[in-house]
Amino acid sequence: MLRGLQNNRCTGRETAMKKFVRAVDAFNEFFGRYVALLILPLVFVVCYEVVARKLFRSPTIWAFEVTVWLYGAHFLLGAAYTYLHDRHVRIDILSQKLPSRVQVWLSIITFVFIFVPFVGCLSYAAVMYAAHSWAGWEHSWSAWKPPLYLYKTVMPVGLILLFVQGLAKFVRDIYRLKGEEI
Amino acid sequence: TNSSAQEKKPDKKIEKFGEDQRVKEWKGKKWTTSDKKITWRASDPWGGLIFHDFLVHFADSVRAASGGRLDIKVFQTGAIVPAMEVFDAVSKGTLDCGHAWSGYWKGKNEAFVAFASVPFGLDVEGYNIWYYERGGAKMLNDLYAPHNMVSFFCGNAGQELGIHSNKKAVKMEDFKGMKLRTVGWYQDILNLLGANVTPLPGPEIYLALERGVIDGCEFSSPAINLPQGYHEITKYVIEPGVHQPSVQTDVFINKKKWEELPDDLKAIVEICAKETQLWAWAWIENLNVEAIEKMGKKVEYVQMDDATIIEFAKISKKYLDDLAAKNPDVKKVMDSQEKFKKDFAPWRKMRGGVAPWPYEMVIDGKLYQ
Amino acid sequence: MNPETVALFMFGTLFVVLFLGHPLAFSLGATAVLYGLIGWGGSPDQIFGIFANKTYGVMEEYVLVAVPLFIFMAQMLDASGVAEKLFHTMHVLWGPVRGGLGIAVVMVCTVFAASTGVVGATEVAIGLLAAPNLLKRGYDIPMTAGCICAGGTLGILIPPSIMLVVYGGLTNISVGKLFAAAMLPGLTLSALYMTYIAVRCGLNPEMGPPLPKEERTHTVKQKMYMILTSLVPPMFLILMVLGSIVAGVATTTEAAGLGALGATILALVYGRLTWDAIVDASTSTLKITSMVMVLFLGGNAFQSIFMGLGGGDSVSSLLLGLEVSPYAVLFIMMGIVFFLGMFIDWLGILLIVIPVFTPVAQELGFDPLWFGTLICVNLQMAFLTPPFGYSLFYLRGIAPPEMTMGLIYKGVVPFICLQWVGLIACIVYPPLVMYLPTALFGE
Ligand code: NA
Ligand code: NA
Repeated sequence: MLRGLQNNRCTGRETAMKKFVRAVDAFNEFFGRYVALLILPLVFVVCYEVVARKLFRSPTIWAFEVTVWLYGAHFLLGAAYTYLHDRHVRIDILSQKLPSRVQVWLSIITFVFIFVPFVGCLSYAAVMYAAHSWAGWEHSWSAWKPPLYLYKTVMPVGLILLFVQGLAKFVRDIYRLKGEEI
Repeated sequence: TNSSAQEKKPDKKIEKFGEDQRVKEWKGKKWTTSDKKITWRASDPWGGLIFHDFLVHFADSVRAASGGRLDIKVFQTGAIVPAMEVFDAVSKGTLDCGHAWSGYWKGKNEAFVAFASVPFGLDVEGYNIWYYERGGAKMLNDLYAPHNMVSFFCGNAGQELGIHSNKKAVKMEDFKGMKLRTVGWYQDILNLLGANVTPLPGPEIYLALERGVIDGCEFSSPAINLPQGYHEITKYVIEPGVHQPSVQTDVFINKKKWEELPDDLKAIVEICAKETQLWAWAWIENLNVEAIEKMGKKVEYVQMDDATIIEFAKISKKYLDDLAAKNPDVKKVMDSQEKFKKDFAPWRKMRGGVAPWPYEMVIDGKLYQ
Repeated sequence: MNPETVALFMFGTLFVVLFLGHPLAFSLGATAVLYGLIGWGGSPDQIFGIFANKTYGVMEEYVLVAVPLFIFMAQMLDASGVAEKLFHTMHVLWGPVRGGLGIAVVMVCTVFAASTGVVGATEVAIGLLAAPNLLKRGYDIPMTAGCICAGGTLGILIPPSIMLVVYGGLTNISVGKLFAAAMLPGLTLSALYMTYIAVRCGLNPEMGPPLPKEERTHTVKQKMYMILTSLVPPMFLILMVLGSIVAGVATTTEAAGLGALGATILALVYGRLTWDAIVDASTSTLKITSMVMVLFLGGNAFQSIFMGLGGGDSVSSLLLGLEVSPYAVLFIMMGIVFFLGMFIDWLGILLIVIPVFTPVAQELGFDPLWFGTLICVNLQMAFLTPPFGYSLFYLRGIAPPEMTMGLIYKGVVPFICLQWVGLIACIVYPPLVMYLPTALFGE
């Protein structure tokens, strides 16, 4: 009876972790597909500017910055999606030769000693960086003067999503050690 | 107890006129040579531009004057932080020291532009008098203080060259619809004048200009424009550079790092900044002579007509007044600069006519400043 | 820590960490975090601040906007099916010659290289068509692998190219000039490959036999028609991109946008522009773009700490302190780039090497445009050099099972030698690089 209860509690916690992994995966899959579509307005704005300038001789004052913002939001907000699909380039010629269990261990260790320090520190710095911009109501120095704090907010959002996706992979690896696939 | 010298009455009492504030401040000050060795990391947004040499010169001067006790290591643009991030990096203390044209920090506070260059604003002489004697120094520091930095003027490159252009524009209507590249306040002003301004980044300008993506661009002083080669792909230079009667740069230092400096090194930094301010002006203006001669072989220099310059000035004034109405910091600085210009005007006018033109030119009737 | 030690230890650590199989971007970044904390002095806040500053620097770099645009263009072009038509034409055209199909592969790749800016999509598209075809006609496996990999790699050298865009962004050299400079070296390599295939297969027809007589049924008129219809679409793209730069319609970034639009129009014309195709192209674009740009973040972090701790200075003073001729130093630098290319991808190398090598090259009096082109010609070898080479992986991903990694490695070796020939040609005969930019842009 007692044992059963404990087991139940245990699986309960496990389910929460599994839920977390699945939720993160699902969110980034969903979100990433929308982020991917940012390429379409990007193409549009770039071409629009050429037409406006060349055909109508009236370049916009906004196209330049909108272009840059779309590009930055595109690649940074998509970093987690790319990680989810394991597309960040890595050199696995050696690690691939190892037994699969060792590979999982290696993945866990590198997460703790490589991913967490860098992506963690960068996310933290990005939060501070964006907060600083919000505090000063920072605007661009161009004639159009868009609010930079909005664009700079893309940084912490994209990086924290990436960090959380990394955590999800970490949890999945832990389960893999126990022989379970999520 | 009166000495005999004081007893002897002069025929006429000559009162001392003017006082060097520093003499008062430093009177009786005990100077000691600090023995701490300090290293600073410094960088700038200049890339390959010779403004970078201002920072190098300043760092060299400090190293020499301090006998190497303050070693300012100058890093290439982008080596540590990207060009435009130098401000944030020094503010945070990642870098200890930076050098730039403060117009770049327009997005932090519009008033920074007033310390960099103002259309129809101060020239080198004006900036020097206003900064050193009219409270400009304090105002600059007040502006940097909330960002955790102190700052000193550190190199003025004189008047900028006008607009490199493929279109000969000397009258007001010539500028309408012209596709130009510029930055800062002038961008807004040119837009108000009816031009189309594109804020292209530095590396894109050349190709854009050559291929007709833009009709013209302003960049900087002749010596700085020359290596960019704009004169090789455009037909005209439209003078004068009303947008920047001079281009003022400054060095900014993380406040904590500044406060940690012993007094003797603080004095050295301040003096070396002033020395750089003097040297840079002489250096660049002398280079400008050679630069405009070289460019002159490829381009035609044309002058905007007086009516157009006056129209430019009107629109600039209206723009700056609007800006001042919106931003109290801009108002404070611009009012102070305008007051100086007003106060200085009678003397500037009176002393005119004896500028150092060659004798031949003066004898031929060239009397204006 | 003195700068020499820093340089040595940072690279040492990186080299160990790289092979653990974790993404390169984060490995570079973590090395930076470690050495920043050890060597920088000041609070951790300030060190991490550099990473934030650098990240934002990448986010506001207008020149790099061309990267996603060129990638999207390649994905759309892939979706349009233009490659199939062109390969079919070349197949018919060159089939009768010994080694003809190999030559056809290189030709298709060259035309595609001039219309797209990346390697991946093109090589995969052409590889999928060509590999089974060549093997079926009795081509030697290594020869097949070699011409597909080498041909595919041309995409990154012949303009437009995201490698040249990135190089321009990192060094402030006009991307337009870099495009012009890389054109002739790229075409030279293409010519070298074709000559090699013709000679090698000419001498030994077992490596690449001609098509059997019974398959040569097309009339001259039919052939002319095929050439016309299959070449028009890529020419349209070349006109959109390179044409708009040369004609002054657009900046490089804008030209990339026009190219993306052009490729989308092609897909529309060929009836392949479905919503699913757009989503597919968009998600693939995102994955590749984000991979490239995130690598930038890690590489930047590494570079800042390395330079800030004096590592850059110590490497350059080491190189400049060698008492040898400037050309010897140049060969040492080229050797280092080649060696790194075996293990790291082109972007990682650019990020690490550019800040150290460009000042050295300048000091030695080399023209920055010429030097930059040499680096890029060199770096495209990294796609081919085992053990880590994108082109090899792309091909392995689509190759039939009998085409093992070992045979692919064997196949690319002659082509790597040809790439060295091309690189040395650029060094001993600088006009190969400088003629076009001078003719087009003066100076
Ligand atoms: Na290409
Ligand atoms: Na390689």
